[in-house]
Amino acid sequence: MSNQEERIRKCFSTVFPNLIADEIQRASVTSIATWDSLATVTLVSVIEEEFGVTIGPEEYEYIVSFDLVNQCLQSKTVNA
Amino acid sequence: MKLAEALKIVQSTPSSNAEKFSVWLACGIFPLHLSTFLAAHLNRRIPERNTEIQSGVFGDLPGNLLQLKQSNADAGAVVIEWADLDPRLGLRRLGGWGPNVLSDVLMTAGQSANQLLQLLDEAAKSVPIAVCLPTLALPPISYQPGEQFELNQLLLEKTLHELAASAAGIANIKIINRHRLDAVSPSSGRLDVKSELSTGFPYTTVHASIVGELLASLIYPSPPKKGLITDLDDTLWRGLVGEQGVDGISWELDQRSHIHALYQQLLRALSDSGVLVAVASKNDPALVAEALARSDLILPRDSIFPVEVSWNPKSESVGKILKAWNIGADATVFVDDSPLELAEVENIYPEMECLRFLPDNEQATYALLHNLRDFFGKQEIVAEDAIRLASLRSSGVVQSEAERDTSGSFETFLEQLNPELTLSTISGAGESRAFELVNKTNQFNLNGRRLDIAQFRSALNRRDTVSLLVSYNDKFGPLGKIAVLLGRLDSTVLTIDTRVMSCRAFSRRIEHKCLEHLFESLDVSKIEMDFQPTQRNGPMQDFLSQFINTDLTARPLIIDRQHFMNTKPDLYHKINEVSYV
Repeated sequence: MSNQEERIRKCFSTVFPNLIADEIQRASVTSIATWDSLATVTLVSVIEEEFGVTIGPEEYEYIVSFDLVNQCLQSKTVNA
Repeated sequence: MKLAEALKIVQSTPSSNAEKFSVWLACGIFPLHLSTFLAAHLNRRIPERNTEIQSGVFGDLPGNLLQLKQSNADAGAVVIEWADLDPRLGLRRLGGWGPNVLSDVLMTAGQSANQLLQLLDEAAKSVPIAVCLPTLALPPISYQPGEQFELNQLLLEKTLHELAASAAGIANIKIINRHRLDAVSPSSGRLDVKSELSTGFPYTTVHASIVGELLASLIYPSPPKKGLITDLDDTLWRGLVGEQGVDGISWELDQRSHIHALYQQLLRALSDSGVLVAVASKNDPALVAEALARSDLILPRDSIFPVEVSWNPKSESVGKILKAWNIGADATVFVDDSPLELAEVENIYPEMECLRFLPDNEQATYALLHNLRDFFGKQEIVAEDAIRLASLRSSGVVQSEAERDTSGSFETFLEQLNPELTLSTISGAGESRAFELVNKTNQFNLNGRRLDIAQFRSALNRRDTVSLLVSYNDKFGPLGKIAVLLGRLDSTVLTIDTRVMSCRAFSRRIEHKCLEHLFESLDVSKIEMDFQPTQRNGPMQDFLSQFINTDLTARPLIIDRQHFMNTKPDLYHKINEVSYV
């Protein structure tokens, strides 16, 4: 697991404390019952805090699974 | 505090068995992270309680205030933003910012402020409330350049200040100090436009954490410290009295030592509000006596008790002072310019707050003055604050008489004190003093249990409650209101849940007289004590041990009337007034 993935895992673990490590990597809106719009907003804030980035409303479409969050953050790193 | 940390704290709340502490958060914004931060900061203050935050609907502060009033919450947190006074002052509504709407905005804001004040007044009758006034800058409503304070903006500010001033005068309402907020949360870092537009939550997480922290500190304040021990040389005054002589030390503007005068002025203000002030100095006692007799000293000599001057380690002097005050190290602040002395005292008294005075850094010293104010901040100054020092001096006389008694002379001494007790129920003006005693007394404390204001009032309002507030006076002068008792009466048994007495009142057998009086006036055959040992309540344990036939682990812990009457020492007190049953 890359350093970025490990940090994303930490963010997911903070917002969804009941998930075990394996579940976090497969996590998505459809697999987690408690992942509602409030959880999305909270996850965005925690990720912004952890990575020092801003995630705009147009990027919320990526905040639906661990993999897409990872891709979103990778593109930010590349474009930075 | 970061959001991730706040979430972790909130998720690690104690088990569901822990007593709940519920807060109703009333605001017009979507509370989102503010709710999380408020819960986290409260959890840090009261980790043993299960903090629960409830909130109402978005955009309806008046409705949420009504709900707060009807809730059974232990406390309320009210967060007002400009949009609550007029939606056109927020970012989510488009009612116009042009010159033609400004007077109407002003009028609406005035009406809203009046309505909010009424609702706050009503809600505060049933629940203590912490209020945060608008923290965000006004939107660009003014047609004048931003550097200029425009009349309508000033009138809006005036409306808000009038609301704040009226609300601050209502019992049960506390308002966040805007100056403190400005110092810790720069105004340019408060608004999160993206969050406001996408979710209705207008605060950055940094600002939300600070607002949550300040609200938590008003809802559940730290107990104020009781005593301050100060060094002399290069602390109370500039210079070394042993080197420069009594006339060589200074605290004046033209001597560049004015910061010491400000420190003295603060100590005087603290002393006037009931804080104990003592001196611990490594010096020549005769020189110090001469220096403290200087008529231009801003802190009067009489305000200082005791003055411990010797060449022994500072911790020894501090120990003597704590003994004279009869308070714990955790209730005390020690101020010295020497890091070595601070470390030596801190090593012996790790619970003590040891603060460095930096005589050559006026900025840091001025910050220290603010810091000291915070440590000793209290809600109100009561009559007992004015007589605390005098009663401590007289307590010293009583204690030393008790300690050196060898031939029964202490009995004569006690009798000749002409002790008088005044007993009353806890109500009206006595309520805040009783609440203070319950929450700051450690040694003569039945179980160490602290009560928040809601629990305290609930205990007072039970149908079967017996409450007692005890005042004491003798030939040395009054001690003021020094003891509190809360219990429940069930035919022939009185159960006492809360019993505390100020350490200033020890050695006068007040505790014995109160118990005797309860047995006789309530005509009960036994008194059940809800006792729990704590690390600090040794005096209570000693007292109970005299009157029970079992050991202190027995439950229920019962004092039998006959046994008490046969065992109690002679009591010389006159009871002036009884109005508690």
